[in-house]
Parts: sequence; C-alpha cells; structure tokens
Amino acid sequence: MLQCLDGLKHMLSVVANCCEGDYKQPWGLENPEALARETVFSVSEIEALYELFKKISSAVTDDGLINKEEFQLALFKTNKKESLFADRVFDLFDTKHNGILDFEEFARALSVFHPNAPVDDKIDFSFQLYDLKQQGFIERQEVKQMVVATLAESGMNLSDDVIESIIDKTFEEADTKHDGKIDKEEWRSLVLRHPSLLKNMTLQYLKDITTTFPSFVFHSQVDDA
Amino acid sequence: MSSDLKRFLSRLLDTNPDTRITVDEITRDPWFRKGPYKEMRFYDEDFDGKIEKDESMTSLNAFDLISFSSGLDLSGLFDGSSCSVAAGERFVLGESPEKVVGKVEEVVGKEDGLRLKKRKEWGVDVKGQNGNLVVSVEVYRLTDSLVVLEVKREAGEGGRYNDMWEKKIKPELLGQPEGHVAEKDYRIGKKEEVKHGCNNA
Repeated sequence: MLQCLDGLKHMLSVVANCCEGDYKQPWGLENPEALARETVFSVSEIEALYELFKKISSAVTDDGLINKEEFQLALFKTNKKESLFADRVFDLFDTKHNGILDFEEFARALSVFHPNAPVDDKIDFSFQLYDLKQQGFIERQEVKQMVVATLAESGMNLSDDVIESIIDKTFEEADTKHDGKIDKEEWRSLVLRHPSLLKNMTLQYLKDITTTFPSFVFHSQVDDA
Repeated sequence: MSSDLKRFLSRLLDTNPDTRITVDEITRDPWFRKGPYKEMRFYDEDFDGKIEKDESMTSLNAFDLISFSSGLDLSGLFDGSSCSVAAGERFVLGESPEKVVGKVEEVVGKEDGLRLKKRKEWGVDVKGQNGNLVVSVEVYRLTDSLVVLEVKREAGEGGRYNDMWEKKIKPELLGQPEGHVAEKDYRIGKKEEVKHGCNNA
C-alpha cells in the first residue's frame, strides 16, 4: 500500500516537473529530430538522454547547463576530486569553449561513445583526449604526465625507471616514424593493433538508455524515426 | 587410384610402427603435396604462434595504464539508475602471472563450495555453489617483472567477497616471501576503488 502511495507521489512530482519545465527553454530539445539526425541516437534516445542531462545539470545550479563542478559530481559522486582526464573530457565536450555544456554539446559528444558510433570517431576523440597541448601530436612528455597522473590517482606505486621503460616500450611500438611523437596516423595503427585501448570510448549504457531513463511516457511528442 | 596414392597409402598403413610414415614425412610425400593440403599446418607450428599472441595481448603499454584512470570512465554518468558490477581493486605485483593465478587457485582449492574457472589470458573467475560469480581476477603483464592485478566483485556478493578476497587470497598474494627485493616499493602497490556505476555511499 505504501509503495503505491510512493509511486503516486513520484508520478505526481514528475508531472509537476514537466509543467515547470515549460518555463525554461529545453535547450536542444526544441528539435530532437535534428539532433537525432546528426548523431547516432534515435529520437527516443535523444529524449532519454535529455532526462539524464537534466539530472546532471540541476545538481548544483538548475540552469539547464552542466558546469565543470556538476560534471565532476556526476562522474565521481564528489566535486572534490580533480582529474586531469575529466578536465580533458569536459574540454572536448565543450566545443563552444564557454566553460559550460549545453544539451547539444552533451548529446553530440556522447554520440561518439555509443556502441554503434564509427570507430574512426572514437579514434579521433581519444587522440584529441591524449593530445594534452592540442598540437596535433602526442609527445613523450604528455604520455609521461598522463601515466604519472593515473598512477597518482589510483595510489599505484611505480618507480621512475619502470615508468620510463614502459613508455620506451610503448613509443618503440607506436612511433613508427621515429620522431619522438605519436601523430594521428600512428595512433590509429596502434589502436587498430590494440583495440582494448579504446575500451573507454564505448559506453554500453547508451544502448539501454531508453529503459533507464524512460521519458517517453510523459514527454514524447514525436514518433520514433 | 594413382601410383602415388597407392604408395602413400601403403606407407600410412604400414603395420610396423618403426617404418611407418611419420607426420613430417607425410608433408613431404609427393601425393600429399600435390593436393589441397599443401597449406595445412600441423598443430605444433600453430601452437607456438598462438602462445606468442596471447603473451603480447596481455602486455600493457603506457596507454593501457592511462585508460585505467577513473577520470576516463564515463560510465559514472549513468549512476543511480542501474547498479552493475560493484567495487574492485588494482594492484601492482612483482610476480609472474602464472604464480599469481597459481596462488589464487591454491587458496580457492582449500575452500568448500567455491569453484574456479580459468579464463584465457590469465584470468580466473571464482564462483559460488549456485554458479554466481563471486570474484573475478585478471592479471596483465606490465614489464618483465611486474604485473597488474585487477580484482572485481559482483554486486550482492559482498559477504562472500570479503571472506574470500580480503581474508584469504589478498594476504596470500601480498605477503611476499622474505627473499624478495625490498627497496623497490612497487611490489606492494596499492589499490584504487574502482566503482562501476553503483551508488554505494
């Protein structure tokens, strides 16, 4: 009986939110079909993604936008954790370079992580991710910085010698042009030889997103394309 | 039946094992070589090739290490609504993968009601009586003397996991024998709580 009441309460609050939501512009949701066309998502997946977006973007300030803090909160469940990588990811999502993510940027970036997204997109994204200084190539120095950051984050201890030898081995294999840097082409061959390097670039959750965030019951106004 | 074939058959069916044709000789037999089997390789040659492939697959490079970072794991964005695999840990150990897996096997072998299932590429799954996964252990080669150990447990098996992993397997793996290199601290590498989309506050 109690569960029934809870369910009713939940449903009423969602409906209430639905009405409130009309005051703010649903950023990017004015035209879900357009976004669906430009990403690998279907229209209902875009709508479900919007539910996720709303949840994340309202964590600190309810302005329909995700700032760095809300992003960190969503990823790590705490806004106290600084991460070189989360920063890079945020920057790559933020294609308008204004320090905040609107729904369009959110959806377009996440599209790359969909299991059905083209591998080339994933290769591109990961390359840009690791190219810390955005010079069009990955330097040895950047690789070391990232390895050290990862080890520090996880508390794994490795001596400098060991780290150097791991990076040496990696560059030996990856830097086929022997110029001390890994360019896009070399990255691509490396990844095609070691597909596990792209494992972070695919989120299986995106496939089930319409079941985890069922928005269609209350919001959908369009037929699925 | 050609004469080549007749000769080939008689060599195969030789009742005397000392003079009977050997596998190597089969590949060199004229009739055999004329057929479609020219390209066939026997399991010996294949076997070596396979082992090498497995070795290189488990060897981590710098980018593998980087991809362990939780900052790159966006599955946390989907948290709260679905709870998949729960916490896990990673270690750096100064042991060979065979030794690590061997130790796990040893410990699990002494327990009742637990089964070990070996996975290819140096991994083992420890399962309970009902077939549920309790703990999964995967070993990756980092350098000639180091490996990274990744341990994951299934949500809901918390009690069993603590028993098995914390009290039995982990101490066995981390309690290095006296003779080991002591000045390099990395052998006792520490762990990272690897959360996979679960709200375990």
